[in-house]
Amino acid sequence: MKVVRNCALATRLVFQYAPWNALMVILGIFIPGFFGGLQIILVQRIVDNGISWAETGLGLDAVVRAGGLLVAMLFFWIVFQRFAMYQARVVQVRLTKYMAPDIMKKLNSLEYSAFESNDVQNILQRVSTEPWTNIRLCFDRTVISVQGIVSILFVLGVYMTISVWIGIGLALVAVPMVWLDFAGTHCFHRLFQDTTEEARRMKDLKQLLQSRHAMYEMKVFESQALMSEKWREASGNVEAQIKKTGIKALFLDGASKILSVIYYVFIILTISYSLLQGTVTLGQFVAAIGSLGTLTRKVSGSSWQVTEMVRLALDIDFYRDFLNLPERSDKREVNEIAHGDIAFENVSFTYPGTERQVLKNVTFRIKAGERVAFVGENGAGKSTIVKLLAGLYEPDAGRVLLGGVEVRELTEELRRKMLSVVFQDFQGYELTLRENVAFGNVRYLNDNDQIKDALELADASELYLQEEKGLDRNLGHLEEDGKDLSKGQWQRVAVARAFMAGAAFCVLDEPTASVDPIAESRMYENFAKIFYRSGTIMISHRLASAKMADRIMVLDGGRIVQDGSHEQLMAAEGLYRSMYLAQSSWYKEDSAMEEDTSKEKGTSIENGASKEKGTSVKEGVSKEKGTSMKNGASKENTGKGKGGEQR
Amino acid sequence: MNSIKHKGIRYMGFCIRDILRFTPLMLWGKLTVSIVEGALGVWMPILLAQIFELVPNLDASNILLFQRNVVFLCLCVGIPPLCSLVARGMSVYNDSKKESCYGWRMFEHAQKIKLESLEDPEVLNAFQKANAAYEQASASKMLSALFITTQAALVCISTVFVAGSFSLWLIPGTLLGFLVHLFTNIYSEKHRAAIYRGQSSVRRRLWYLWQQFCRRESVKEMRTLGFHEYMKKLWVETSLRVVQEMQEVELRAVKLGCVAIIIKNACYAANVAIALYLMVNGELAVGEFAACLSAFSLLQAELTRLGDTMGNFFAAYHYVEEYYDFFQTETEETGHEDYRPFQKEIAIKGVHFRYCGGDRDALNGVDLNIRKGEQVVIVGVNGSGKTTLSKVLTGAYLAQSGEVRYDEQDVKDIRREELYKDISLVSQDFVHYNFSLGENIFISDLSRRKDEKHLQEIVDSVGLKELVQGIGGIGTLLGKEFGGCELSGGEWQKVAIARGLFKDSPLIVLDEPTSALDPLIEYDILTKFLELTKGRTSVIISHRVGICRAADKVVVMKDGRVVECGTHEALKHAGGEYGRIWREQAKWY
Repeated sequence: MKVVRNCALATRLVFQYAPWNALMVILGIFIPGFFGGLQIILVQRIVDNGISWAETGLGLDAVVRAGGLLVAMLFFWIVFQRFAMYQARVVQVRLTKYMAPDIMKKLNSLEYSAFESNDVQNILQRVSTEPWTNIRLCFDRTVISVQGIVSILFVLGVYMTISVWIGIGLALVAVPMVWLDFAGTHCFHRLFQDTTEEARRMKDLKQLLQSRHAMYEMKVFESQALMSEKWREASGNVEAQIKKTGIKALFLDGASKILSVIYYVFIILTISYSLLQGTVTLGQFVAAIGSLGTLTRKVSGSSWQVTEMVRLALDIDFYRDFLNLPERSDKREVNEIAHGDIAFENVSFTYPGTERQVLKNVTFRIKAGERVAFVGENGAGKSTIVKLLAGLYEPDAGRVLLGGVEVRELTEELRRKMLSVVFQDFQGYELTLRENVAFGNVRYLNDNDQIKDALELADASELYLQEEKGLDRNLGHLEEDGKDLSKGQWQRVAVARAFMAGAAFCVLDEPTASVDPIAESRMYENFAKIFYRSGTIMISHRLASAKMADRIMVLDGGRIVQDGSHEQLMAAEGLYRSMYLAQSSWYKEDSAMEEDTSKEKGTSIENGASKEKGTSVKEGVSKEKGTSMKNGASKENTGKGKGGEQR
Repeated sequence: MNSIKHKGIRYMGFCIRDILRFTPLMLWGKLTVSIVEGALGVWMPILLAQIFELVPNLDASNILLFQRNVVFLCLCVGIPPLCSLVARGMSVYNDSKKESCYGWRMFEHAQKIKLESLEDPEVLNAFQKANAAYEQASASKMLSALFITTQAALVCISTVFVAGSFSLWLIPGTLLGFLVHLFTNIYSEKHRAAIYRGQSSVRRRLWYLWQQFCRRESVKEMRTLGFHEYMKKLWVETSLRVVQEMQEVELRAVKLGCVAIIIKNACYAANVAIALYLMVNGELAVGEFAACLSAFSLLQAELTRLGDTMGNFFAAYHYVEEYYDFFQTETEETGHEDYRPFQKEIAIKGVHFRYCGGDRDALNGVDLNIRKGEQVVIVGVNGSGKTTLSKVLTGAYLAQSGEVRYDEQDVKDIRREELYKDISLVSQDFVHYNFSLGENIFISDLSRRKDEKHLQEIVDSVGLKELVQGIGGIGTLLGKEFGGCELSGGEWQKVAIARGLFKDSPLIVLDEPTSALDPLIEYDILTKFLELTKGRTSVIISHRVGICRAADKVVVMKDGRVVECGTHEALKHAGGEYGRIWREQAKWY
């Protein structure tokens, strides 16, 4: 049933985007489908009339007419086939032209959360492999399969005019044959499905082999043995599985084939017998026997076609799911706001499909132009705030406001004017440097000064200065002359992108995680410059950057536990102070230590600190859930307090 | 051209060799099937001609002959479906073998590839192509296509002979039709393949762009920054170009095909007319005329089949080529000396290293000594060659000039696998194996995989004990890919360190483990690592100069050279690069 529905879907889609070509494909495939049967009739006429002409001298014109028709038919047979093939390619072209943009539109109208959900990921994975080709293939196969069956029935119909027994035989054979074929196809399909899990495992292993990092580890650890063991296990399972199911499928297929052979023999014997009895003319005999080879080939061909059709039809199941994905719910209509403040009002948030509440009743207000930093441990909910702010998700409760309007109600242009964001998992695009930077604001694609300015601010001007093609150099490996950047360099490009936008607020999620200390330091200085241009929201592990903000908000377990300037927070006992001390202890060397030449003291402090830190961190990680975090944090504070005194 | 042809023959040889080795049954099965089918295909028109000649003058004298021929006909019609059953069985058999034979062969080779080659996108490309090739069972497909093409060609030729046996006048028409069809097909196929190959880089680009619309990370940026329309435009423009080109190719193929069809059918019509004329003049019996007609229509069908399978053959061969191309990638060279564990120091002298395709030396004359038992920290800015140095040190990369000596032994000459027994590492991009937690740790030393006590000790020492209890034991599967438990970045980091420490080696390398970790965890991990590796020679590569205070020796790298080397205290006041980095980082605190 699903097969029929999916075939119908493919046909509908093809007709939607290329109606005339689809029609041509159908005609081009269907018309020659009847030629097989017509051929029998024509050959029969030629022979019968030829004989009567040889005997009586009459009816030559009938022979010539039939012969002419036969020649014409054979000519058009192949012409039609060619034509259909060409039209099928045109269909592909039209689908690429018109269907692909529609898919893009649909993708763009999906709720963002869909992209992060696992189930949808599988669908999108399929969509990402140019799905219109699958659709077209399914359509082609459907047409060919239906035509195959129709033309076989037509040929058999012509046979039936020769002898009714052929029809009776068919009625007897058809039902079990169809059943066997269907069961066989099903079996083959199951074969494919059963092995997907193992296939995914093998794919995972192969992925490891392609990664130079993994190969380095494997070589040094000599862990190839484990890899091989796993591969052998998976491939052995696949082999056993295919053998088991394959043999069953072959049995079913074989039974169906034997039935068909019996039926062919039956046809031959019936017709030969009838000839001897005189109930069949010589022409009929010649035509029927002569076309048997074509018939058998057609039958075995179309059984394969149908199997293939079923496979392709089940294969495009993902597209149906894709079409049914929910549309995004953000309205994006309001194009005016009263002021430039950002506010969270009692926002709670849980990622769709998960249990854990990541944000719990978070409320804060950031005034226009303010410089704010969010700090906190891994999993405290910092990045989630950024995602909500960007309007990617709808909060469970509460409101995320930009200028007093809910962010998901703002038009995209206005929201972009308000906010530009560098995400933690920023992307590098394998395009030109110019494009990569200008993606922050496509309007300035050809504005060299703007782009260079942004790169400069992100401390990445060497990326174009040292290159022959300057801003138009290719990044990544897609083009021959392209070169990949290091992670740190990509990150600076991403930051430059944010500077391009010139938005009221610049949101930077972990902007310096992958850059080296010098670059990091320079970037902070540049951030300071930017801070005077616009409001900034910064999320960082490196508390040094937080220090420059007007205001620091400390997140812990999805709540804001501290809020204030660096000085205020350092004055109070709390999570911030302990984190800051831990980090600065790497760099703080008070005079006492410098005088003391031995590194003994250094290590002793480290050990002292690490022991305390060690336990508290462990607690933090294991209880990430949040509620009990309070204890962890406060314990840590006292511990750290002592550490501070020691120093 | 000559070399390409040569390669083609060599690869065919490889392919046949592998088929003989992996699935000989399939080769013989398919060969038998093709021979039987081919023979039947040739026999059938002859048999039909005989029957048709008999039929008009059937009488008691030849009724037996007629009956015998009908039985033969039953065989001719009945055997091919059984043959196709065998062929199908063979492909199932081949499918079942493909992962464990062709896949395994690739897997084995991939493990031996030179590490540096994996930096080369061409190699990765070759890997993916080869992978696609064997997953499609291209070798067996090519074999089938080859057999079927030969078989169809034989049937065509024999049909020409059958027609010729009735009258020589029928030969030229049949032959001409046959040849024209054959050559136009080959030509179109080649033309199409050439264009397609020419487009491969554009296609790659299209594929890449399209991926961006479906990837979470890209979509997020496209939406917030608003370059969706631009990407769309880029894709549409590029794809239109490709599509237009392909359409032209197809149109040309169709035009050419039509010319071929017209010639072929003209020949066919001429032949029918000749046969009719011969029959009218009494040179051909009615039965023979009928046999001619059936032979002609068989020829038409076979010719179409020939064209199709030939296309399939070329397509499959293309894949086979890609599969074997992969095996041409360079494999790792290893030394021949037995490794003698170093007692004094590792000495690096004047080492230069350049990545293939790179335009400058990643290491530009590095000199460095690491004494046994020393804890060394290497610092430097991005791209200064720290990670490369660590890989040269462990012998994973071989320096183009200069030498790396373990005591007196040059790393080039040491049998690599013996050297690796003494080295452990926590690499920068450590691997998240989708295996069990235990496997993720003991993978570093499989010889001790059963040593649960050691495993437990390591787990406790890096502070993973709670985690192990939390997720339900050491055997719990990690990674959400296969429904396992997903760890946070910090937890993975600890697993990686546990992995590095599980292997109890005299030398351990830790490469920049702390990016994207929060400060408390970073602090914890680095100090813990230092503590746990006391007494072992350890090399730590880090951005965070803070850790240098606790090290025996600090090495500062810049532009592929070691610019400073000494203790933290000495370097800090030396007023060089180290002091600069230190102050840059420290001034914020």
